[in-house]
Amino acid sequence: MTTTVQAAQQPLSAPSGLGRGSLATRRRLANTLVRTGIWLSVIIAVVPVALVMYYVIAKGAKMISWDFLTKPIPRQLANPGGGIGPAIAGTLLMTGLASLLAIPLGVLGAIYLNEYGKQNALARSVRLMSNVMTGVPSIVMGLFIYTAVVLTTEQSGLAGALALACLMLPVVIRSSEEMLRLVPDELRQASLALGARKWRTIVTVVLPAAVSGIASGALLGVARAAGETAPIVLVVGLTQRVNWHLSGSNTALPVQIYRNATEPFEAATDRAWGAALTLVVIVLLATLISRLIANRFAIKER
Amino acid sequence: MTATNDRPAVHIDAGWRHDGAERQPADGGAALMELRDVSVFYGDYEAVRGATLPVRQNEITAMIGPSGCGKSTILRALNRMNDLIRGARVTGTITYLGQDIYARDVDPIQVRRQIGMVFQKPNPFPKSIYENVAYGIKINNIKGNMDDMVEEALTGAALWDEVKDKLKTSGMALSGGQQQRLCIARTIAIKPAVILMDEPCSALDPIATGRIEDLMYELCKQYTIVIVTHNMQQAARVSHHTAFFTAEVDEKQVRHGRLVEFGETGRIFTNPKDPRTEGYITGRFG
Repeated sequence: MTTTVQAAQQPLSAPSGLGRGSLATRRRLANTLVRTGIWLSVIIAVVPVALVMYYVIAKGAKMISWDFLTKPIPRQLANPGGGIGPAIAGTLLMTGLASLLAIPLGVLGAIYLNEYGKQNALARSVRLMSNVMTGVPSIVMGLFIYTAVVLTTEQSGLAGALALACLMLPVVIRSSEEMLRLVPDELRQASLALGARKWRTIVTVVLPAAVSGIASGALLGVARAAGETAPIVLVVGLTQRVNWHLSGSNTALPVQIYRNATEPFEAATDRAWGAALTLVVIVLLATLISRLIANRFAIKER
Repeated sequence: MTATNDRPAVHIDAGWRHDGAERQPADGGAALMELRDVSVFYGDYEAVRGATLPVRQNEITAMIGPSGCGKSTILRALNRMNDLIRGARVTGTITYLGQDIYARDVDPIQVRRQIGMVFQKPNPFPKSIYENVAYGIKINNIKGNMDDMVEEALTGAALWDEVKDKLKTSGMALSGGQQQRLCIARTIAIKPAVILMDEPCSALDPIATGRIEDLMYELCKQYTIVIVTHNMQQAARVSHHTAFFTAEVDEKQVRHGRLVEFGETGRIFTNPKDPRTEGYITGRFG
């Protein structure tokens, strides 16, 4: 600080102050150090992700075929052949239904928290509870649905969807509320000053301004739900055949990955890799679809 | 302002006093809105105490004064934007065409429909230019040809020529001055009676400011304008009447905004009656 001030006071007598050497050495050193640190961090962070993608594709790609994607799961996992059709069906069914339940509910909840409740007692307690729920282990949520639903009915896709919806809900509420909070108040005021009612302002101004962030948050929830194993095992059970119904036992990709990967046989391990790749692709497709939907509703910047 | 002969005609100050006595509109101009002993509270804090002044039709009324004197607070009370702030309440009466806008059966939405507002920071919606102007028309179900109404509003805000070829581009892509004119276009598209402007030029450069000031002068032929400004030259340039507010500390050491003086702009700036007004205008205070 002091050196800069002195340099500014005597600009003519100290032309070297502008050079790369002299007093700037320490700053240059610090700059280089920080830059190197950041680059290293990025590389270290990217390496595991890249490796995961590499292994999943390298080991899983050779498994992917129409038969693999559609055929029933073999009774003996050790035997080659068969497929993961029922797991794909189960994942799509349960994650899909869970999304249909949790996303609208979560977004509406976030609208209540940020636009209506704000800091009142109800909003604060809902906010606190959804924060706590985000941290609840998924098996606990599975236990809850097991007690509330499965004990009175049966292990089913519906119970699985409910468990996944419970897991998604707090994620969607939290991320949506964050996104709504980022919408500048000036936009709400501008709309209200034009004689718009509050709901109209929310629907036509606030939501479109936040939609792409809300979509990203909702997708985090979807990805979390699609990757769940424990609650599915608990409340959905297991099946070898494709079951598009909400009743009766079902299965999901993470469950099949777990079962196959824990078998010592090569056919099973291959199947696990194939299922893993399929799951990654499904989540990727969900990301693309949510982007498309968000882009449709979002307002263009330019 | 460029041409000095565009200056508003000088009004004869008919001895209107801010204490409410001998209230008589200057040169017979009708008071479209009237504030009588208006105080605005935020919770227990009284931000402005006992302001009484008229807003005359087809005039520009300026509110000036130092920061924290409550001029923006009073402005936002005029179309019930303060309703949006938790704990804000208004005492005294504010009438529009003789009707108390804080009466129990009054819908604030209808008030804002009649009394529009332009904000300090240009705040176009992140939508296209066209959509920005069409928004108010749509939500108020105004009948007519949308394209024509949008063009009319943009023309009225002196923006049409600059944007007519890019109506589909985002309003956010315009320059600051253009954005503010877009916000004015958006406001006049729903044809309010009164336009409230909260320091509309404070985020703009002098050229953009000049254009907005020209525009205000054009607009007051059709609309009634109330403008809050930090810029005294601006108040002197554009307004017909000026209200001078200041912040005062009362016997309990609490600061309140007070209306010190209201009168014809020329008179306020050349012959202020109150020493506080004179002090502020001549730069000795504020």
